[in-house]
Amino acid sequence: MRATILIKNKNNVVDLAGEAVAERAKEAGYSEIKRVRIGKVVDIDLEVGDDTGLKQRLGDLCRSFLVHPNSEDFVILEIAKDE
Amino acid sequence: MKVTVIEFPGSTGVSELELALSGFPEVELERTWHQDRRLPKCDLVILPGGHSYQDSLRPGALAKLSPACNPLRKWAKDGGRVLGIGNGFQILTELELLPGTFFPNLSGHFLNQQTCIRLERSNVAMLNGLVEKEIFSLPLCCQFGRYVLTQREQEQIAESQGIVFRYTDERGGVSEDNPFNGCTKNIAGVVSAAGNVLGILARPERAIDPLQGSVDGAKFLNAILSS
Repeated sequence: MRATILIKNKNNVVDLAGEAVAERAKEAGYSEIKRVRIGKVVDIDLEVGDDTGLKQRLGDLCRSFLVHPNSEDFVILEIAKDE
Repeated sequence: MKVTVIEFPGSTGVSELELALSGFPEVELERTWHQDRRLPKCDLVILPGGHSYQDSLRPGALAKLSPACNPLRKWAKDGGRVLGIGNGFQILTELELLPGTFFPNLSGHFLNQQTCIRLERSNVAMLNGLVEKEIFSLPLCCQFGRYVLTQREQEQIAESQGIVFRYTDERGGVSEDNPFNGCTKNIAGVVSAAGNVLGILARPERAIDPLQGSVDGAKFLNAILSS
């Protein structure tokens, strides 16, 4: 199995990298861009037979140390079988 | 006095700390590797500066999972004294032994500069003999130096008088409108509500000899070691 987790800065957190990208993008002609937020994508390969309890376990992983509770939110984007 | 320094992979500040503490003959220093499951018997634990685990994920986020952090948590909860310097301070926030979150510097660049920090109150148990408004000129070198407290953390730290150092100019002036590096209320160092865990981002071990431009670090370390 494999899982993909998206970690985003909370909405009220200043995202300097996102601001820099937005500024440069606008200068490059992408004037429609209002705001850019940059997060992290974590791909995890798992050795498990099925996905029973996996979402809960991945949530625990995020809450234990992968995601900072004050500054970040997370979404488990996908849990899928290996191709 | 027995001092234990917990060394993590990437704790680049250990040797400098050893050198600085060698100037205090009463100090018996012992290094502990982060994978040790027991802390040596000691009077003070120091988490040194550096970049544990290359600051992967967030500074201190992986270090907090090290086996040595389990006895460290217990030590701190039982009232044992802990000093976190630089990355050591960041690790203490990840361990939730001190409040706050560290973000990348406001400039987006690595900061390597001399800073002034001002002691905010006298009678800090871990800072023996220092009096309010004393100013220390110390080097700061970090990528993740923007220290931010949530509103709730600000209320709690105000109640416990946990703010011990603020960034100032050379005369001790604080810019409320334009806080240094975007840090909440210019906070440069805090102490836990119980008074036994102290974190400071600037690096006192790099200010012990006139050749380093300041000896204020020796004054700071002396206060810690004599308390």
